[in-house]
Amino acid sequence: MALGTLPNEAAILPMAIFGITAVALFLYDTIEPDSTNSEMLAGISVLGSLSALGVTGWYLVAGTGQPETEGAIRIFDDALVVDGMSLFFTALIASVVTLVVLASYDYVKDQEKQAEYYSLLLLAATGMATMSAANSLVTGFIALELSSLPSYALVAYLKDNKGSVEAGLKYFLIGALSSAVLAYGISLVYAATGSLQFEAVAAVLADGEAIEAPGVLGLGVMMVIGGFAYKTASVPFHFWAPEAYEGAPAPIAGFLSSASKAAGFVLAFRVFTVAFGGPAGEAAILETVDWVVAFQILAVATMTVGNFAALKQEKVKRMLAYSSVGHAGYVLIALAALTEGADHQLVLGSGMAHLLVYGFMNTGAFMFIALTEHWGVGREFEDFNGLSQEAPFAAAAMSIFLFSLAGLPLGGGFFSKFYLLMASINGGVALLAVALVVNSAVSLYYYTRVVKAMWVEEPNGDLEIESYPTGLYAAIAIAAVATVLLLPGFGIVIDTAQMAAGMLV
Amino acid sequence: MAPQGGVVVAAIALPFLGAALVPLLYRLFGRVGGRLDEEGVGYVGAGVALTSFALVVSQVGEAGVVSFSWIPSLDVALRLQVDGLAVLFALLASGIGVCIFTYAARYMHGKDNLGRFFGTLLAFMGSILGVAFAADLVVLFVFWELTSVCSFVLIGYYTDDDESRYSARMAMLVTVGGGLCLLVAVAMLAIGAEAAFGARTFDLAAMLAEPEAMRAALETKGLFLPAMGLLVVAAAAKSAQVPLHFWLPRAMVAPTPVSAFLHSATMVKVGVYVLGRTRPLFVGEEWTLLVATLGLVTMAVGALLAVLATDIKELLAYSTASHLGLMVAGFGLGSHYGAEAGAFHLFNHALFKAALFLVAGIVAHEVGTRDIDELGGLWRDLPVTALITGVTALSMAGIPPFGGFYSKEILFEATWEAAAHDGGATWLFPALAVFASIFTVVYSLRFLWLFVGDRPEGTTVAHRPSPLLVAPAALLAVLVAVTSVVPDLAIDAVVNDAAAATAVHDVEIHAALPTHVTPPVAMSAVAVGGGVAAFRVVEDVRTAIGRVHAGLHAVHPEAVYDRLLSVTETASASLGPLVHNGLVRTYVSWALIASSALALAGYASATVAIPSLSTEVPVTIVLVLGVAVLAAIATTRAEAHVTGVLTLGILGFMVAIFYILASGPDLALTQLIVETLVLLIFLLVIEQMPAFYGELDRRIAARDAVVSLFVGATATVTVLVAAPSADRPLSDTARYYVDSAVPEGGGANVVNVILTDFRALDTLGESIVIAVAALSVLVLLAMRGRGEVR
Repeated sequence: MALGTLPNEAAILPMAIFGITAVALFLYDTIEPDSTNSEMLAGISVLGSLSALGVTGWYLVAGTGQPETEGAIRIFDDALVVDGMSLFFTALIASVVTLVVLASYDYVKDQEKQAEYYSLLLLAATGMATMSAANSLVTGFIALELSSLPSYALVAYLKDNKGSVEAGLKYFLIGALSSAVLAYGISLVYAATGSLQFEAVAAVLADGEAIEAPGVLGLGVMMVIGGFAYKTASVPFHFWAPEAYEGAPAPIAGFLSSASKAAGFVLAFRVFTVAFGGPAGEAAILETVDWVVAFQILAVATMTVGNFAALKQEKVKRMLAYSSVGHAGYVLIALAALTEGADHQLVLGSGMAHLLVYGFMNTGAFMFIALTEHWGVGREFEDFNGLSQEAPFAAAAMSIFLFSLAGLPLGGGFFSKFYLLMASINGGVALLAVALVVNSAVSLYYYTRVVKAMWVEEPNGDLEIESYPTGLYAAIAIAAVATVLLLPGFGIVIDTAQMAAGMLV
Repeated sequence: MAPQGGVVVAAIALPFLGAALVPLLYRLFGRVGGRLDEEGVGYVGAGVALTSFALVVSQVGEAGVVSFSWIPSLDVALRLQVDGLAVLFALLASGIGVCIFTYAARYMHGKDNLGRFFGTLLAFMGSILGVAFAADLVVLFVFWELTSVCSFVLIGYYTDDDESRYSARMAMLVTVGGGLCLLVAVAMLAIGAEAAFGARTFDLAAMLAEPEAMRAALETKGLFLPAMGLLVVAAAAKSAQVPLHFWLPRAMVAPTPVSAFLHSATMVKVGVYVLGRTRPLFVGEEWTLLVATLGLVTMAVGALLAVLATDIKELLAYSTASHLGLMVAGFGLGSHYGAEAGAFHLFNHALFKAALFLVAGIVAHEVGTRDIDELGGLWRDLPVTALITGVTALSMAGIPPFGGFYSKEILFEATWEAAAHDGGATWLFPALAVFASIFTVVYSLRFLWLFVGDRPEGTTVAHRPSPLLVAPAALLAVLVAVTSVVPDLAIDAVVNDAAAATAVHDVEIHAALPTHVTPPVAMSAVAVGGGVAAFRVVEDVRTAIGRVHAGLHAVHPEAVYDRLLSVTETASASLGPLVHNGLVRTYVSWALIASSALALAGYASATVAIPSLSTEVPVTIVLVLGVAVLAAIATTRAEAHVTGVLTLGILGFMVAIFYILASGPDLALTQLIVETLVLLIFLLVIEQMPAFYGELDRRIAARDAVVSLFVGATATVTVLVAAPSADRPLSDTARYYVDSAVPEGGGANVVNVILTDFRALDTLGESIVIAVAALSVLVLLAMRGRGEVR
């Protein structure tokens, strides 16, 4: 088939590699319990994530599951599908995991239970990669839980740190509530349509007569939106995010805000474009419940709350957490601008591209936070004063991340935001465009606060930096190079994203 | 003749390459030591600027577009256009760049972080060259924003200065905020192009080639005025037009070479340049009304504020705003005179203002103060500098026969022509222009008087300035002088072509001294005469302006900016605690409210009807549920935790009785067991909790009551909507189970039969899961207190 001599099941190899790596780490831990051999553990993890990235890249280049070969590869009775979308997001998740593992090498070197840390990380990655390929509400839900459960534990990894444990507990409580909402929504959709597989749901919806109870379906769709809003840290289900990110080890915060968010979005994209949207289902579902309008409200609220709350934060990590909420709002445009007559390929593709760019620039920013935590310089804006004098390279990389997050053309962040703007205008939703622009202006204010602290302010007291950890520096350097290269190389990204989006809409 | 793409790209790329290498060179030179490390990088920068300048010179007189593919799917490409306007702007940027780098090498001698300084300055120059040649809207925007970022770094160079930090951020916010407007305008233009050409494109050159088609497309889409307005706002922010002018004087905390380069000759001109570039697309009545008015008002306000200034750099900054207003006004007026005035003044202003800033730097460097009141009679100590100032300040004042006179004369001509053509309120145009020019003469003379007259006591000149500081300013002054004597030299070389690129009519710039009286000549006479007269009573004039200025304090844009920032910050500070106070119960209530709202919105958008309730409810059920409601109310009012939990128990048991009455004994049994367990757990937990939390806040209680009522109501509506109506037939699945429960399962309770018979395997699986979980708990309990290894 499309994979040449390989069986179709080989298409899920990237996910399998994540899972196998997680199990390998468990095995290593069984043979040598409580190992503190960080080189070995981080090495296995990097090897795993890089192999996953490599295989995904190979599939993308070879055209596996894409229109130029034989189209999407469906396996396990259509429960999983490997296509451009799933490969795009698997590549994104694998890149982020690689960066996170590199950074974690220095961050958790002196901690206990490192094997558990790395294997939980890779288990979560397995869940996220599976989310990107889920083609049925039930596989989607299971994958989502597979990615969530390890995340709760990872947030609370610093067991002796009160903030970390509190954050983990809160994350778990809100997560449990939101999972319940999502599961309830899924069951209602099943009750109304009698199916869980996306195309089957769409087929039922296309045949408007077959819907047994429109009220139940509407409620179900709304509840599903709520569940995804939690996973992507969108208002009003974002409450866990600032606290979880702040309390979590910084590499985990980067992991959750980039990869986890992307995984939530890819599932949402699929559910809403294939099951509740698409050429067949669109008419029927929009009669029942206009989810595009719901997403418009959510997008504007998320952008505004995230950015305005970030404005006055005193801690840099918490500011980044709120900014991450704001970025979820930007990506929501990809669903909110799917109005009738819009170029759906453009709209969806721009959201995907933003997530990819965001994966690098945001992870990079959190890696810099990890670096400052490693140095122990403090968490507030004032504590970053004059960092450029001690660590000019890291400070320059951080400035690139922040400017790119703000949408200035120092990195790919500019283009992805610009595409989102084009998408909002193309969708004819002026409010989204206005909110995007206003919030970008607001975000510039708090991002420049960090840049100003690092470059312009004088250091407070004696700022002494003793070590320059290799792993963290490597992660930051890779992320910075990727962020910058995504400016000239954005054409490839957006073309891939639009090709992938074109397979769904 | 077609331009050479490689040459243009090299001219733009070289400064960026230099920017990357200069910090390394700086370290290298530092290691070598000697004089090389102090000034070497500056001269390297000058060399790069000179090379770029030479490359641009090689393209003079050529016209055309070169293109390199970038993002084909949206037709974004690295398109570079060579024409008169682009070449003029690029020549100014790189040429003045040479002077600035030479000057800065000496001026910044011995300062810290010079590698970063010169690197950024080079990157800045590259960005300006990029803006100049950009023929693609996206490319234009990228370089436009890069200039803002570089300027942010350069303004914040003096890190120990409080004002410097404040100003850097202000400049950044205003110009980048303006840039976002440009971004939206770009998107709108692209949509217009899609309608006009049938394909989405960002090709500015193509749009300018078909202005009529673009206009028509934009107008049908209703985007013409929004796009124009946003573009003008962006340009106004960048080019310091009223009321967004306030960042420019603030930016003067930057080192003088930066002020001279960025805030007089180049960056602030980017806005003007873009207005000139897009002029053919928009020019018309609305354009004139908006842009010409904006420019003339800025011209007047800037001139007044410059007269009021007490610091020489502040004076020059406001004067820059005023002159930018002149160029904007020129481009705003529809006639060919407007285009000529804008392009020609762009050229003149760059020369004289850069020189004047360099002079200001020399004065500050040698005398040690920038306060106008403390300066005077400097010609004795700084004769060459005084001569430079004489030529350039008179050009700034627009006094014949100096260069600035010619371009201002053309503007007068343009305003007169517009007024004569349209009449009515447009007569304000020439009036405003003359009014502003009077004060232009006043502040120019004030600056010149630094060198004339007597020296105030206590002012001493440290030493003669280094020739390397004076030479760049002298070179610029010589160019001003040449333009004054033979203006046609510059006009023929590039200025006329530049004006032609911005015009929709034929352009033929005439610059000569007047031989007979025409309205513009009279206007010039009034301006110069009035200015000289006003200068004689300059202190009175300043007091009067100062009084008005102080009276308008509340509406000063800077005050508005500060207020806006503080309001936003306050809003943000209060938003945090409101939605995010660290308490899980707040988050839960938000999540519940949101879910309920989503659900209700779902029903509303689906327009489902709430089924009517049947009225036949047995009295016993009403009684039991009534007790349950009473128990619920009592729970909220319970004094002690134990009472609360016990009353909650009553509620639960009432629900169990309700199940019995509604013929669901198995459910009732489950409910009773759960209720009892929960009660026990509660009682155990309460032991560990404090008996008293604090006083009840009535407002919070009321809020919680509203939230719970809302959530409860939603739940009720959900039950009503989701419950199958009584008359609906059973589904096929339900029918199957009901029919086969007794014959195949042997039980009358259908639910039980499904669990234990039809789906017995599922039940077994679930039981296994529970057993495994229980075993895990046991293991964990057994291992409590010791690790896995020990």
